[in-house]
Amino acid sequence: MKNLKIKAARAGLDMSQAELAEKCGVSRQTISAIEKGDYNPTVNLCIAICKALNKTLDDLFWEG
Amino acid sequence: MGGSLEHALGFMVGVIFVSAFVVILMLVLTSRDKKIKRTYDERQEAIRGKGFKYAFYTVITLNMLYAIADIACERIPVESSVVAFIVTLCGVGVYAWYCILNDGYFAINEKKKETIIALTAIGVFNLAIGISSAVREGFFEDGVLTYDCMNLVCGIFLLATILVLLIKDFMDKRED
Repeated sequence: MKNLKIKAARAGLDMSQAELAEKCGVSRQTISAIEKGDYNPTVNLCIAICKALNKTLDDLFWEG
Repeated sequence: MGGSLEHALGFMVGVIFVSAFVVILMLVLTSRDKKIKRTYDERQEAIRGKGFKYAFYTVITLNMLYAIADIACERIPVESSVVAFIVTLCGVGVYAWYCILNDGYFAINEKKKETIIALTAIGVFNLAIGISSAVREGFFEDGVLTYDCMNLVCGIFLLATILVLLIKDFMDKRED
């Protein structure tokens, strides 16, 4: 399932996939795969993404 | 079999020494400079693990097929060293191509361009040696394919890898 919340939060900060990837210490393709729903990140990477986007885990990864 | 025992021993010792030298050099360089050490993210590590698995199954399957062919056929017109090398190359190919197509081949801190240039240079070099060897001596001795063909095989394998890299690059650009 696509994760549109990350894409929206990233766009809100005017941040590219490459910039987010660099902040999280992963490749751009990994961020792309998470946004497309092709890859489920570990909790550690979820936390890194949340910190980079100033969001909580609930904001970005909780369905509801 | 092509070549004498001394030639075979010399070849083996050469391969072992060069391999050991490269491994030691890489270990020394990566321990001194962390920038040289390749780092992969968690998704890439998972992809590389899957790549290893598929490569392992490929090598096992091809070895089994060779064993069956060896039992079933009276004479296989290929030297066993060539078969061993080609089976290994197939394993490496499956691993490398799977990783390339799933973004697990290049580390986060790796420069793609340098690797592609190095692979192309080695590929073309091997291809040139292979073609000149084919023209001068040919690859068959008493109707058996000898390991003299390995340069040509390596060259083709490396250039095929470059082709996969270029296809992946094209796919990525189209996706962007």
